[in-house]
Order: sequence, then structure tokens, then C-alpha cells
Amino acid sequence: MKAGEARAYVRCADDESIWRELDGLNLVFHRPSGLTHMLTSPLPEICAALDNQPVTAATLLERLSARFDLGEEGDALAALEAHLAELAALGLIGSQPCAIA
Amino acid sequence: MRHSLTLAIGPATFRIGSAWEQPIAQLRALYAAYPQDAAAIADYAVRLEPAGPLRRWWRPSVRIAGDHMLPDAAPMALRHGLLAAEMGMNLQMALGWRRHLLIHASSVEKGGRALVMTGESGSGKSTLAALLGERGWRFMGDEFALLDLADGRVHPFPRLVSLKNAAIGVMRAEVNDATRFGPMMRETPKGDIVHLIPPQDSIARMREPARPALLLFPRYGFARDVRPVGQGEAFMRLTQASTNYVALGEAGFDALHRFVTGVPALAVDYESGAAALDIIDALWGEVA
Repeated sequence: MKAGEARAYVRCADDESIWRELDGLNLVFHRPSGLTHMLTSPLPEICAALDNQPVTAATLLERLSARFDLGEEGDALAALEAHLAELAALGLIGSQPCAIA
Repeated sequence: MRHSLTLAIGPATFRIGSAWEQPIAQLRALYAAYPQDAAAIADYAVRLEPAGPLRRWWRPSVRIAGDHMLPDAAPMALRHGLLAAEMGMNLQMALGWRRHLLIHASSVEKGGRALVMTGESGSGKSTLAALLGERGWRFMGDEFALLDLADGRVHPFPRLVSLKNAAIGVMRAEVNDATRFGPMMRETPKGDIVHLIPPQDSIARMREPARPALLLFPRYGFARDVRPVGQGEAFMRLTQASTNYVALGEAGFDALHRFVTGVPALAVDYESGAAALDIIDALWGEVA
């Protein structure tokens, strides 16, 4: 991803991964890679807030803020962007360039 | 190869070939009660070869070869040929087995239910399983527990028990039958080793799986303590203890998830074999 390039994030097809909850952890088996991931909060909540329509991190933050107390907006957005980049790198969510600044 | 033996242990059949007679003769004797059908189709071939052109006679050194190999395995002295054969068989299972989720764990059974113990080398899982096998439990294996991908039961793999160092004296005091012990192999890469033939009942029932009832993570040499292990932690530790979890893909994920959600898991620290047996008795009373 180029610096400063806006990205939009989207939920992956449901059959791409299998989710199981184990005492507070979320186990995710990612079918395309065959890898197992263990996710803790807030990553499962971020994945759950995405749907089939690509959204920017800022839009997603609004969506999450309606449900969770996320603290200072500037810090929260930076943290959310980092989590989204991490999830996209694992293939657990989709990521695409976005025209919206 | 000049000398060979076909041998079934649990669900796996091995054909072991050797340039020398001694390791095959020792295996044939120690595995006398196991199926040794020369016409059986083997899952794996293990070969004990001279490490160099002259090494069959001159300071004989054994190189382990087979269907699945580690490229940089060091050759071993011929006097440790029996150990080389055992290591060769273990290696085939660890690297090649796909019919079950293979967990580096010992297991014993009572009343149709299995106790599975996993831990690092030196945790005592092997010695504890051997001890329990002499005290009313069915010994199912000291090295690999094979988890059924379809129904979650544990299948036995009751190979010879590999007793190392202090465990040799512990089991000599427990088993009053010298014919069940193999030759003493001193100064092997793993220390002193003696193999112990599992009890007759264990071998006769080696195709009989059992439903897992309790998972323990034993740790020898620490003050007595018993702690619950969360399902997430158990899952993570078992992926590390499995040699084929990644290769099995989704089937392995499902099998391991079923195992950790269906079986209580506990970490057990203990200072002596007697203490561990006490703890296991008490814990088994609670789950059985």
C-alpha cells in the first residue's frame, strides 16, 4: 500500500474462513491459506462490522463508535487503520484502493 | 535390503530393511507379539544403511533412510541400531501420517475412556503412561496419540516404550519381568535408553480406539500444582504438539476444535512418579 493512499475494506465471502469461539479467543481457519489464526478483541468486532459494501476506515470507525466506546477519534482511527491493514494482510478481510480521500 | 521385517503397530505398517542383521533380530524379538506379516502392504519403508561405502564393516555407522527423511540427520553407531530403527519409524509417522491428527502425546485407557498426556521431552508423559499401563490402565502409546478425524476418538500407537535415563530404573522396579526389557544402549544422542515391551493386553487391543476424557500437560520436577488450561491455550499448545496439523488443513482444525471443547485440560506439576499417580487418580475420579 502506498503511503497516503486511501483504502476501502470489505468482508470476505463467508465460506472463505471458519470461525469458532474458545473462551474469549476467536479461532479462525482461513481456507485459501490453510492457516489458523487466533484473534482477540477488537479484531473479531472489526471483521463483524464489515459487510459486502467496501468502506473506508473512517466510515467503519463511525459504525464501530455507535456500538463501542473507542476513545479519542484521532488515536482510534490510527489504531483501526493498523488493525485493518493487519487483517487484510492475513487475507481475513478484503482491501482495495479507494477514490474517496 | 539384506535383512528385513514387516511390522504393524496400531494402524500403521512398516517395512524395515537393514544392511545388518542385529537391529532386525532385536526388533523381531521385541516386537514378537505384534503382527509381522511379511506379505502385508507397508505404509512406510525404513532403511538402515551404512553411512559410507565401507561403513558396513569398519566402525559401522547407521544412516536412517525412508519414505520421509530429514536431510541432516547424523549417522548413529551400529550398537544403537535398534534406536535408529525406532527413530526411523517415528520419523515416518511424524512426517507422513495423514489418516489421523497426530499429537505428540502419551495415552492410556480405562473403562473405554482415554487419558491423554502431552508435554515436552522430560515432562514425564512417557514414564507416566508406562507406569499407569502396569497399574490397571491400558497403555495406548508413549509417543503419538492418533486423533480420529471423523469421530474424535484416540487410536493407540503402542510401540515399544522408550525409557530414557532415570525412567529405566523406575520401570525396572515396576516390571518384574526381565524378558520385557530390550538391551541397554548407553550414551546414545538421547542418553541411556532401554526399550520396554508394552503389556500383552495393550498389544492385543492396539486397534481399539477410546473416547478422550481428560487432557493433561504434566511437568516433572516442580512443586505439586494443578491448574486448569483454557480451551484456547490447549488448542494452541496442541497445534505445536502436532506434526501434521498444518498438513491436514480443515480436517485437522475441526478435529482439534472438537477435542479441546470436549475434553477438560489441566496442567499438572509433580515432584515424583508417586505424586503424579495420586493426582491422576484423583482427577480421573472427577471426570470418569
